[in-house]
Amino acid sequence: MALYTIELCGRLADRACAALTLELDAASCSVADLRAALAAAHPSLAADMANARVRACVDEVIVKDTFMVAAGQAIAFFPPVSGG
Amino acid sequence: MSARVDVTLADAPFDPGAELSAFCMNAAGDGAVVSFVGLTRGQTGDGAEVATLTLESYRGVTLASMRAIADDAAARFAVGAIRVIHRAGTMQPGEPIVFVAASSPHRRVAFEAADYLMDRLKTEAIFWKREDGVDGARWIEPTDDDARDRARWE
Repeated sequence: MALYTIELCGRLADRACAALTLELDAASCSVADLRAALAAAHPSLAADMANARVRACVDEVIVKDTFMVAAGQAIAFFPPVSGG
Repeated sequence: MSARVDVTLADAPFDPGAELSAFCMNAAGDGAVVSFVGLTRGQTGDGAEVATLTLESYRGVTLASMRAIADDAAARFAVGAIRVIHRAGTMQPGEPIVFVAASSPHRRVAFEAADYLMDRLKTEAIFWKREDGVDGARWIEPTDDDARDRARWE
């Protein structure tokens, strides 16, 4: 089993909590796999995990759904941003 | 000639007047300076009172996103200098939240660069904005108007 720590930013933290951990069989998986696992474990996040406007960030770089992420990397999900 | 670009992510209040004075001192020779200051609103769009505004940021990604926007502005416009300051953390109504300034030999270029910086900061800088009021908390996302403003520069 491999442990993935995931940070949730902005309003996503209201739906679950600011950081959560996910235990998966594989030591690495795609961002798409991670979205599916997160949605299954936390149904309140399912709609956001299916939303392409919610982006993934791994080790401080915004990545696509095909990106392979390893347990232990800094993973975060970003809802639409709003500065100014 | 490459423009001077200075970007700050501020976690405490800043003085836009002092920032503008400092920017003008360094812009000597350019002839035109345009600046913009955004202030925290005391009311939401529907008139409810806002007690505080909180801007959440994320590690190095927020500052990197601000830098990328400022660098793009420097590459796109014939500016001598660009300054961007953006607050993070919890703010009271009336407090400055963002400051941008651009200097150029020509005023229209300076106006455009400041306009461009703000349109992109509103829609692309990595921040999440939450209004806390008596009725509870509300997350703010960019509006369709913000997206249209951003699209003008495509």
